[in-house]
Amino acid sequence: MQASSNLAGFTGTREIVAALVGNPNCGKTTLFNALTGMRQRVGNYPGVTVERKEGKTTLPDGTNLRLLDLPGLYSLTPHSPDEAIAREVLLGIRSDSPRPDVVINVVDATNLERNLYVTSQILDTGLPVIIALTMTDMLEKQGTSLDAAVLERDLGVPVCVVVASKGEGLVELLERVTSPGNPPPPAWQVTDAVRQAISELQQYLQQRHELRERAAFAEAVSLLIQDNSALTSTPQLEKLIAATRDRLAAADVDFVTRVIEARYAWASRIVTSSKSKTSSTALPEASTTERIDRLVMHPFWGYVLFFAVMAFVFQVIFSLGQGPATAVQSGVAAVGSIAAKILPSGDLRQLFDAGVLGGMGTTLSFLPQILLLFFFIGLLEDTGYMARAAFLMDRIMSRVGLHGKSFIPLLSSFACAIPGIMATRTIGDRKARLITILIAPLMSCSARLPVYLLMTSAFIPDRRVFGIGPVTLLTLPGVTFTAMYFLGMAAAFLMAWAFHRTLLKGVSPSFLMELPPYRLPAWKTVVMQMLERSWLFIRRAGTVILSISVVIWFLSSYPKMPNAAPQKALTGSYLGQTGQIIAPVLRPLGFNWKMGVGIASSFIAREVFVSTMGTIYNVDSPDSRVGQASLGKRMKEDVNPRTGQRVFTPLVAVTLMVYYVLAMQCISTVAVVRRETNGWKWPIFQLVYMTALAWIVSFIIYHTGLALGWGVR
Amino acid sequence: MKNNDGDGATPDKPSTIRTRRRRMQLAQHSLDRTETFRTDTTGMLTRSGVSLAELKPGECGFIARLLGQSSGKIRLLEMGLTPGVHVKVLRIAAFGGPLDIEVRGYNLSLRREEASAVWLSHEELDAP
Repeated sequence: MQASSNLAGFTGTREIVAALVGNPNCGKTTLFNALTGMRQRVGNYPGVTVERKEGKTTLPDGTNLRLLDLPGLYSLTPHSPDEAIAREVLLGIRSDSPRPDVVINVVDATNLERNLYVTSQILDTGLPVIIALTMTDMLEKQGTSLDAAVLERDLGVPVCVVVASKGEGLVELLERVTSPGNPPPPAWQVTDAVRQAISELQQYLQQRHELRERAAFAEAVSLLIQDNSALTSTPQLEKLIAATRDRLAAADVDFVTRVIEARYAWASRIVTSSKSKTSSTALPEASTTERIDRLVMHPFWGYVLFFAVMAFVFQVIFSLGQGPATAVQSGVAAVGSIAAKILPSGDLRQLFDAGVLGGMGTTLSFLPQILLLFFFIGLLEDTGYMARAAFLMDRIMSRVGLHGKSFIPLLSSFACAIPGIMATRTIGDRKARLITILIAPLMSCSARLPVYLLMTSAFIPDRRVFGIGPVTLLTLPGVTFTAMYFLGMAAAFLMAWAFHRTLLKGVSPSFLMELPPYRLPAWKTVVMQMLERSWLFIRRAGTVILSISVVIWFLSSYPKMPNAAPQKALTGSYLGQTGQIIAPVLRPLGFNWKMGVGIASSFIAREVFVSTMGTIYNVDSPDSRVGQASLGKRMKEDVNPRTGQRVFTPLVAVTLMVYYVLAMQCISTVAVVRRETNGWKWPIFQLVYMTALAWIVSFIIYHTGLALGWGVR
Repeated sequence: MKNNDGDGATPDKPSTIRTRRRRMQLAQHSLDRTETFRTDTTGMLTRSGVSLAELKPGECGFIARLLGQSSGKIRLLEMGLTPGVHVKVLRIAAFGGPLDIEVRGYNLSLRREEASAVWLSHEELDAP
């Protein structure tokens, strides 16, 4: 009660702010969901890509509880943006978050020692702390019991045993929140030499910032470990820090090691006194996790299983995602036809139909695949398999500066770069994540398929390349197709390597990662996470996609030419004019202005190239098989009026495909990259580098082809 | 983030890595003479005078000290790899990939480069 009394508003409703802190994989998310149910809000901390989660619940005495779910962390020493933010929230120095009245520290009983490390740091903040002890049921299965009363006595703060999945202990936990009591002074002990060396700094902090002794000690320790303080730095403070460091160095004290060692020594004393063996098995048997790992992480069978799991996941995403995606599209079309009846024909209807519904349709048609992908990613993470997959793939990926966890986002990008880029959230390392985002769109996504199909079927002769007897195994179009996929992959890895060596040099990579024990998935957590991430996509990327769709619609419909044929109307529009303006830039690649219009219009999505070509060449339904064939025929017949030569040769077709492999022809991806990197810097960089790469490689291929005499015909 | 830039930049420079490697090779040379093997009651091979990266699956040792000065060292310590702690290599990924080790009752994976900064000894050489 005391903790919240200062917050009592005059309306009578009181609010307590509690922060939920704990290691990754400690059951924190399950507890958060059990406490708040659907009353949560998910967003981002401004300026960084750290997920911000907040929930509300009511305490037994009617007080409102505002629960801040901080990112999972092993330590409050800020190594990553996640940890920096958690620390700032706890210290109450973020303007976007209230200072918590109480900290609920989630502690995994099966991994007590390491979990208590961050507890010792949380206790140092001087905030009232309650321990929510999870996984006690798992511990008992391992033949060990943990005495919560002893733990409470040794820690000096309340300890509540919770089994969030069954709802056990939640009421007790909430009751304790209103009266957490004051935290004890830090119980971990440093050697006298260390204590003496830092006492001057501690006293200075105590006096200047009116800190209590324990808070000053904790702040002195964190200042000496890393130059990152909540306090404003002064020249005097910096001098003191330097002097203290010199003193420690002179006394040959490895301060960092001694402090961390001391915290662990404290944790290990607590573990020893509160844990006891219940079953009397003489030799510890290999745990279930260890037995599973012998297969899952096997140098041969581990990979076999990994590729089988990937094949299954992506097969399901493709086959199950297709149906709902079509349903979404027909749903959008149905809304369009209703709107056609209500709205008067004219600009407004067209704006709604092509701009708004078009944009929404694009956003929503990604949704089934995104939902499925996030469902599987959540499942793989929650069971503990994701860390193993990253372990297996890390060697290959780290060669080019990526992380073992980059593999799944890159694989997803073969379906669509948007869910792929969103899936990079699982990569903790900032540099590896950024490189993964930058190269993900180079993987040939499904939207490039129609372009490849149109070009190969029309211009690549159907010749046999390889076969056994009467059975043709490889044809030229098939080889071309495959080559495009491999070109994308090769470019992705080359660019990753280049970024790793140049642009993002100097950021230290790390693969320090816990391999959590296997657990049955918490379905509720998996589903909630899937819904949250998908909703974030609709809300943030959707708005950008929608607005750009409207702009593109405007550019392709104005200036108005009421009586002109669709072909004339398109080429005369601003978009068509743009295509003609950029034509000189594309001429060195062998492209004419029609292809320029196609490229300009397909910025909205690559497959739009086909329908634009259909409009320009006056073909109905170019997406259908028949339409595509007749479009191909007309494109073949197109002749350059000046030279009398054909516009499209196999060489031009290949060059165009290569251009589409490498160019960033997708505003939705730009929107998602903006969202995921929190700014325009990286999406613009990506747009520029990919377009430049596409142009240069296409130029080389076209001119090499011409020099070799492949251009005629 | 900003706090990482100063510390984190150093271990990535190839020159620094090379110097560190050379330093470690030298250290290895002098320690090779004192390198010991010991089989404990459960039949596990305990090694000392080597870095964690040189252990084979199934072998174990006690941490003597961590080399280096950067934030990477703080990270390793904070994950529980402090002097005197028992570590066991469970497995190593194919093609010289990361190691899976058991430390303080949980499984941790780390890259070979990270493991080479962890120097091992017998418990009694550097008891906590």
